[in-house]
Amino acid sequence: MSKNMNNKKKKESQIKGIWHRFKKNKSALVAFYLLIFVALVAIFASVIVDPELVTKQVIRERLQSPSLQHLFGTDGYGRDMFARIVHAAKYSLSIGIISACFSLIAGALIGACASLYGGFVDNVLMRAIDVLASIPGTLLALVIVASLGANMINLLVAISISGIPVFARLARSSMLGVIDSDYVVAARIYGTSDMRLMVKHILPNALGPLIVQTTMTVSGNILTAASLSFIGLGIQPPEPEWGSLLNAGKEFMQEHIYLLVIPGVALLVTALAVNLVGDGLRDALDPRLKS
Amino acid sequence: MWKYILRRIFLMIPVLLAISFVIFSLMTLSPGDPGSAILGASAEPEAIQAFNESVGYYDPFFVRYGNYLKNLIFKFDLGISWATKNSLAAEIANRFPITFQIAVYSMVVAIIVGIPLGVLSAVKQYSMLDHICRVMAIALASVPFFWLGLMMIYWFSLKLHLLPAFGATSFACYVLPCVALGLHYAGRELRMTRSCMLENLRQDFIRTARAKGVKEERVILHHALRNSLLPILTTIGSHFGMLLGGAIVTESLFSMPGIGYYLLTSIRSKDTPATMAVAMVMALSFSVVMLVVDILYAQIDPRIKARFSK
Repeated sequence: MSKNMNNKKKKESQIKGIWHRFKKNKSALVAFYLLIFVALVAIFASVIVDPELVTKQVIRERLQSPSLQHLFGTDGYGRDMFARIVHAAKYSLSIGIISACFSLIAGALIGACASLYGGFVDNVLMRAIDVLASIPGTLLALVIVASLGANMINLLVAISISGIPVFARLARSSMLGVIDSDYVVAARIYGTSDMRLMVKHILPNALGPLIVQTTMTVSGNILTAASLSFIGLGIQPPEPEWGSLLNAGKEFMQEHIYLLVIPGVALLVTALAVNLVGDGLRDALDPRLKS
Repeated sequence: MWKYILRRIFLMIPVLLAISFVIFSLMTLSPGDPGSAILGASAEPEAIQAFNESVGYYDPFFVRYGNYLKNLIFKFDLGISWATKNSLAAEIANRFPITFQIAVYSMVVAIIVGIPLGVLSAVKQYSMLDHICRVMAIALASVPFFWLGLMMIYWFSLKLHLLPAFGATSFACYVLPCVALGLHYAGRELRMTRSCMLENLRQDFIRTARAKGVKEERVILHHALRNSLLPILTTIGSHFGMLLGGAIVTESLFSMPGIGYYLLTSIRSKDTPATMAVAMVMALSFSVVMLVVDILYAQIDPRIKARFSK
């Protein structure tokens, strides 16, 4: 019982330490709060604006510049841009986060098998990853979407798969760094099962770089999803997504630039916030790496 | 050295085969058959079936894949476009130079902006300049480059009428797309250069050089930068390869008829052989670029060279 409590306390203090170091980085902290704000907007999108407004077309009010009635103006079909931007946050953020987590899990599993079993298993897995990595990510995602059809699920699958190689390689190398340490050898001699060895001893100590990579991947994936939607191969209209909003606004560029500025800034701010948080996390998780 | 190059080329064969297999299997999942696509929807079903049989559409998967590979390797035959009925090898050869130029110019922009700023930022660590460079690097990495392109079209083409917003007919057409793409990669180059330089500047050989009385510029350029060039070269190489296979969004935004734009039109018109051919060429050129980078790497790094020279 007391051992359990001790463990809990230790874990808590570790998280506290990381938070303490993270807090010192002012830009990362601001970015963190900004990210929480964007996440809250995405989660409570339906509370902030009526979801019906997202697709409600009022032709009389088309292409109105931002005003009190329509904060971000209206688009070519007379739909309220504020509602569309707010609801788009949901799609952009969830695609970014879910696909990064999927790549992380798949990559960590592959890396774990490769580092734990070594030899033949390692060779086969890593050569397969080499093949996957030698197709540029955007191209692979595009080919997957092209053959399966353009919708949200396929977009998720495509982006997740193209992210696996980075994670698998990173997981393998950081786990290999841990696997030879004395405490892992000791646990092995003690007769610990592979599963327990992985979950209790290796994974927690190899997690740092993986977490940092995940945050970086989230921002990259938000941008990739937006760029695929921008060329019409991602989220399909009338569903709003920041990239597809840019695509729709493109034709009204000459007179109605706000249709391009607002979704672009939303994308930029979100990606920037995620990147800054990732930077701050890297310094906080491993003070030695601090540059 | 030759031993190393041959070894790398030999190791590339299975990777290339596997890439072609991945793309071929993915594309067989996509809808449509050659008969209805080439003969048109108004053709007799029997004629369509006969045509499909004649091109081996009903053969087992591995037979089709084998035939595809055979044509690809021995005849450089990538198949025939369903949309235009032209040879795909020719269609791609016509468009490749445009994509190649975009990749080269973008990388030039990225190198000119990224590397000098990265060096300066590392040399003057913690200064105002360093701070600005770091913010710039992270901002450039976070800007959606197609949005940057859109904004540049708005300002430089629509408002100021300085540069063309589409096409690839003159050098001026390349300026906006390549600056937009180049700036995006410049951010990554900057970060890479900065961290490599910082690591090298702390090494013993730098202290030795300074102790010997070597001039500071020479220490930075000759001793620190030269040793940092290896990882930077790898990053640049992989970015160049990605651009050869990934300028798709930019080409489409600026309506430049390169292979990326062709890939997109073929996806939209459900021209499966064209999609497959372009994807194959893009993936192959990426691998070839990475091979060249590896060879250059060995050429520059005396440690690798020494290992294979005996």
